[in-house]
Amino acid sequence: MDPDERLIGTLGAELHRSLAEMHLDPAARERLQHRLASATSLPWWQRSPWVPATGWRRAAAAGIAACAVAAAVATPLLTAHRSSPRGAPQYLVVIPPRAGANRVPSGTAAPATCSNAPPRLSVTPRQVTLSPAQKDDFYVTEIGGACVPTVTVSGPSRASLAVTLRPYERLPSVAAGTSASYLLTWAGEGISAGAAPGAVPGRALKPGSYRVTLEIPGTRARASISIRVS
Amino acid sequence: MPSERPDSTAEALAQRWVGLYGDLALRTAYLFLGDRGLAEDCVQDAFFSAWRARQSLRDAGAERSWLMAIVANTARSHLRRKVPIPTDTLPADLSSRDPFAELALAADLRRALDQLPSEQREVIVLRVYLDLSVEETARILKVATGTVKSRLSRALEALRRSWTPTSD
Repeated sequence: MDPDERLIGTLGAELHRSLAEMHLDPAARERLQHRLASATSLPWWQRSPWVPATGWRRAAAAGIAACAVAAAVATPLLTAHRSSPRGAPQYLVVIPPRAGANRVPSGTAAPATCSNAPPRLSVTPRQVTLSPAQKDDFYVTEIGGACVPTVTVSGPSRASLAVTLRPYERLPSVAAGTSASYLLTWAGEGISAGAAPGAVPGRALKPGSYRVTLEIPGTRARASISIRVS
Repeated sequence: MPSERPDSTAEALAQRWVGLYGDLALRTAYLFLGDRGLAEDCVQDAFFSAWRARQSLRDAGAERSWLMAIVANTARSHLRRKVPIPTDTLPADLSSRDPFAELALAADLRRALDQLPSEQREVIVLRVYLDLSVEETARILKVATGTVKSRLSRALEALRRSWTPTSD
């Protein structure tokens, strides 16, 4: 046998053996299955660039890519004279402790409902694209602290961005933490926020990238979701 | 991106995908990213992209390599964007981080893999771990097949110098 082939075989076997005990944890598995089963399929032109293109789609994608390059070159030239916000506006979504629990001393301790373990937050997906009146799900998983994720929206509501818990799709708590499904909605009208919560109302929210940040007060747990509005 | 209520067919397919490929995807993403949390995020993103494009998969026999290609590309994209590790999980000293800490690998192999340039490690993951063909690997990495072969050759040469398989 070729020495390279033999090394490939040995190395492959070693990698498979050493990774054999790595599994998706049950909460991640459940969340993924639920998320897939709830999602619609997209037409090919809206799909992720990481999906392999085939046949005529490859040609079409190349055409679209060429258009995108042209637009990327032309747009800054056309809009150079206009003012644009510097940096993506930041909005804050706070996850408070469970209702009825003691109030959190500001920034000094974890919520009373959390365990002593430091909580970690993760959000899926991390990026969402929304057009006016569109909605999308996102999932938040908190691991380690067993904090109950109840969302209070501060900034997004002023920009017609709303985040609400979907009670009928709430996932069961798991031993190591909690999971929940939220619905993100952009009304796309009556937009009044500028660059940040508290900004002067009355200006239209410009298409672009915005960010919703989730955090558990009093802890360093933080996650964010990037929202592109168009 | 409106969402819809799950139907039983979609649920069954989702269950099959996650059951068949979930762990393999996690391990593949881990080999790319070297971090368990980032790998789990990557799997979620990759499966979601694949799910929404599943009608483009014409050859059911190519499901595994199609899905793993999406996982690999998503992981490479995460690497390029340098997705931040949540601050509450950052180790005290990043320089001392062992990207293969969760692997039950011999220390010399861990060290050898860690020392490989990322482009060579990518080829090792795709060609050696996932057993994809040279052509499939080239398609995923968007390079010529000759480049895949030369990267693999250099990676094997480096591994041969720094790792002695115990089974030999």
